[in-house]
Amino acid sequence: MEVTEDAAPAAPEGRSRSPVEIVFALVLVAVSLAVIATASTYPFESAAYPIAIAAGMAVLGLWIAAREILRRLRRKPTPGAFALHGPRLGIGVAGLVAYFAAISLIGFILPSLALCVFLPAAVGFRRWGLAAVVGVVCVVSILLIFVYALGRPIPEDLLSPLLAKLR
Amino acid sequence: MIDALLHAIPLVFAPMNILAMFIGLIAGLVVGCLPGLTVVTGLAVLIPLTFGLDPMFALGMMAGMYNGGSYGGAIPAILMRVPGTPASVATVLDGYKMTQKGQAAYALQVALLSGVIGSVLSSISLILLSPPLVSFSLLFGPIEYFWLGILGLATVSSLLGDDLPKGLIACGIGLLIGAVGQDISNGTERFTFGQLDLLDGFSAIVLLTGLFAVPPVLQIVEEAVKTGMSGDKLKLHRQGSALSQWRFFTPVWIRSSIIGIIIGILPGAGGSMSSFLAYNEAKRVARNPETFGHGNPEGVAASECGNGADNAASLIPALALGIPGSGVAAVILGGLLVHGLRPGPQLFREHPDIVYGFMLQFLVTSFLLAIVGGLAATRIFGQVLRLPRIVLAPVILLFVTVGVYSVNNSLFDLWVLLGVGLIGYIMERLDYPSAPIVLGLLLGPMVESQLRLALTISGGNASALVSTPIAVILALLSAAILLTPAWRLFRQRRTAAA
Repeated sequence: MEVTEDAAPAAPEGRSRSPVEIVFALVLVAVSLAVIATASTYPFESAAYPIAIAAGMAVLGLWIAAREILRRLRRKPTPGAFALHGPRLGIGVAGLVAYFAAISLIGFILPSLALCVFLPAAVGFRRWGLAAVVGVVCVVSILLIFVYALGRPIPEDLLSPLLAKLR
Repeated sequence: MIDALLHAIPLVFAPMNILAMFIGLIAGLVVGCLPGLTVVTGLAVLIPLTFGLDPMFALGMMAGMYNGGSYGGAIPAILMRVPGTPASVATVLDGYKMTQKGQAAYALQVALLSGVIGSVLSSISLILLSPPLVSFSLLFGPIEYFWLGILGLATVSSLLGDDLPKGLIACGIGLLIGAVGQDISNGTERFTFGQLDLLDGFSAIVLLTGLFAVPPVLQIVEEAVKTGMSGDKLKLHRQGSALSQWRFFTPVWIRSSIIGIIIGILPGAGGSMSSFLAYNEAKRVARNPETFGHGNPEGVAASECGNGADNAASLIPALALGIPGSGVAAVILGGLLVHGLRPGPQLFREHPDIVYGFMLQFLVTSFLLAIVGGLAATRIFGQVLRLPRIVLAPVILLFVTVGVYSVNNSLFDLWVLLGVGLIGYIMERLDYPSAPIVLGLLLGPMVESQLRLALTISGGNASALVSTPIAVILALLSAAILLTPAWRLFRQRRTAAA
């Protein structure tokens, strides 16, 4: 892959994602056991199928966790870091959570414009004007094509009264 | 078949549906152009946006996106040495060398023409091979459908990547998600926890969008590439005609198309495998194999033709039997379900105009690609490569959000989208494959319901499950497919030990 001058470095080779491998496998085991416990309260014919699958998943999850632990004991943990860039991943996840929370509170338009400008800015993109233009073009396109032309709904928005007048 | 095709022609060539195919092609070219975004991602973004639209319009967009995205990946592969999609990796080998020699426009032309020829032959194979497969499946009852579902799930083993337990867990997750909701046989609510939104189970469209469209967003944010491609690379000038050299390329096109079609039909293989196999075969039989990798246009032709030939062919088992054999086919199958079209013999019986129309749309979009993918168009749509990739992350999310919300007018779906997207990201980073989740989700309910039906008919006699020759064959095939990776591993270890 060609790397442009500002490209992020690849995931550090020296670090291992091994702890995440183990934790995720154990989470899968816990979820499988919860599924079995929940399904046990259902009539047999409804319970058998999910219980069979969850039991298989629990065994496989334990297998993966045990395999990774053994690899660590042999000092050969699965190589490669979990994240390409931890802080940026954190920003990305926080940005997504904030975006969906904001949509639930104030609707689609303003959070979308904010996301287009602030998410790139949060990871160091300084061409605010370009980000804003892209955001405005996208939001306006969505409103024109999906809302006005196709009559599709968007989450209830603070600007809905204004949009209704524009219709 | 002929009658159904004739009935479908007016639908396919309705002005709005032609427009849909154009839009899909252009969107596919753009998605394919953008490194990090695959055709699966593009389809995952597109499908919720098509919800509520006329099925032929929606399917036209999907067909266009598949064919457009397939070729779009060649543009950055040739111009920048960056494969736009995994299937374009083999194109890089000779395509970029041609660019370095000042033959970028010629390489793009060869790629386009080869992709178009591969796609056309693939579409024809879809039209010709699906009906016989459907006729055969009419012999099936609940027992055979149960085993067919198991066979479909067994093909997961070829989608698992290198780690069998992780692939099986991914499949199990899909099966469990498919079990959420009201049990139709007795009304029991399974894993709904009193949440009305879950009474009908998770929406397949929300899940596949979350799995395939959200992780690339996070990856783009992590990479934070703040520059785009230089505009100079898009100053393309016509350099000869690949079409006028058809005699030279024909053997490559024929071989690569056959390879692409066979690989497409086989479950678990995909565009990247067919393009590499076609490339290797072209190199193997070439008179000057040493020139491959140094700017030989035959390499570009083989790779792109193999890639294009894989497209429609991969839908043969998906449309005829409802068994998606690849990630893209699984997503398209999900797209059909969104429009109330359940693939399999029933679809051919109840909606022949739509299913044959969809096949024709693949053929038509293959030809349209020759127009939309030309040099002038590449100059226009390639402009998207100049946009810094980091600004694309929110753009993808905006379209995904509006599409997913409009499926059920539900904010709950948006949170499901986020949750599934984050889990999908974690799984991707830990090398858990995503395609088996979709297969499990789509096939799980069918397997469960057909098994129950078969057991009810047989009075609870489990031996009835292997009471017909077709059932036995399907069961043996499933076992063979499941055991293949283990057998391969065993042989590798024995060879290594020796």
